[in-house]
Amino acid sequence: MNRWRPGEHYAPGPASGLAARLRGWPVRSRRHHVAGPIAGVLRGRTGPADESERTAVLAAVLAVVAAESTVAFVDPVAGAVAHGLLLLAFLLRWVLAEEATILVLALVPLGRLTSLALTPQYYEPATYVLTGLPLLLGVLWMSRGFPGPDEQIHPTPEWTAVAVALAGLPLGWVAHALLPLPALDHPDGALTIAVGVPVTFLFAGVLEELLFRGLIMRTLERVFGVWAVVLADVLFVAAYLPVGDPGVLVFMAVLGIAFGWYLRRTRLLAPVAIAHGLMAASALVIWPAIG
Amino acid sequence: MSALVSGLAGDVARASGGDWLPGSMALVVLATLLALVVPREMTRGALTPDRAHRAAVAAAVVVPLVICSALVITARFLELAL
Repeated sequence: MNRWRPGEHYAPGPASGLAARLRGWPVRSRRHHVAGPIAGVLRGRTGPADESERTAVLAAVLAVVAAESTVAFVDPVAGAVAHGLLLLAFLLRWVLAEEATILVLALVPLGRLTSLALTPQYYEPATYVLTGLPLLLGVLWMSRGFPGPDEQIHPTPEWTAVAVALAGLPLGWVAHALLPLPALDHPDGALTIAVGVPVTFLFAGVLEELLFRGLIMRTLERVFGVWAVVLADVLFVAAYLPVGDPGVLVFMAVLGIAFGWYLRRTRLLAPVAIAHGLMAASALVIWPAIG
Repeated sequence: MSALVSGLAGDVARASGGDWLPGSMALVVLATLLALVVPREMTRGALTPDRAHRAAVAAAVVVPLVICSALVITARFLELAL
């Protein structure tokens, strides 16, 4: 079996069973894998990234973490300004130097700007939809044509993918029981449950996995190899800094490493995305409703 | 960001200020959008084909920011009207 390694030209190999059905999700069609925004850049480059690119990407990651820290610990407006400046710098770098990883990282400032600009005004499911929609659009737009899940490095039985996906429910119970998460108002209301479950599943779980593991980790892999799992997790945890609760940060860090490790090992994004979605929906809506 | 993170960011934002905060955030978003769009239009036709293509690809980030700006502006107008 030809095994894909970061830095090598992407060449999709055969997959079967559930892996074949999940491959390319959510893009679905492999025809799109040749025409997306950054697919050409990632496909066209072979060999390891050079030192200057590694330095630039690492600096970008650290800058995002610093901006998130500013939002959490200094002042949200100052943090928003920092994210705005980062967005400009990242897009300029993309246009001038064609670094696809930097372009993908620009989605993090975009998401934070959106959440800061809209959350003070809206509450509950409407907040989630309004703040999540622009980011979801950006993520899907950038995912279009992204080199899809590759040859499985370590082929896994189908039941493991199902088990990983369903693990979201007990994980949600653990998060609900142990962590100070913001449950929705009127958690036992029928409307809250009917609207809250799909909204939190999509915008709290699936969207985060599409962004942090589906796009960021997989582009970082080309530059940093296995360390991409850690760097993507650093960004993932940085997004949770506003919580101010060490337990949440540790929980998310462990979760991010586990999901990243699974994705790197199997190249299957759908199970971790579903697991995260189920975890979010159960922690924020289902378990609070049950009590 | 996503739902959970949005809620947490909202808590931080609401805890740190009063009525001025949504307006400040809206200004930051609009200023960022202008800083992206104005240079793009000024350099249209002056970029090499490769860079022009990459600038077009950046729409994946710019268009969502336009939508965010539209939502923010609409919200502010609604607040003024109500």
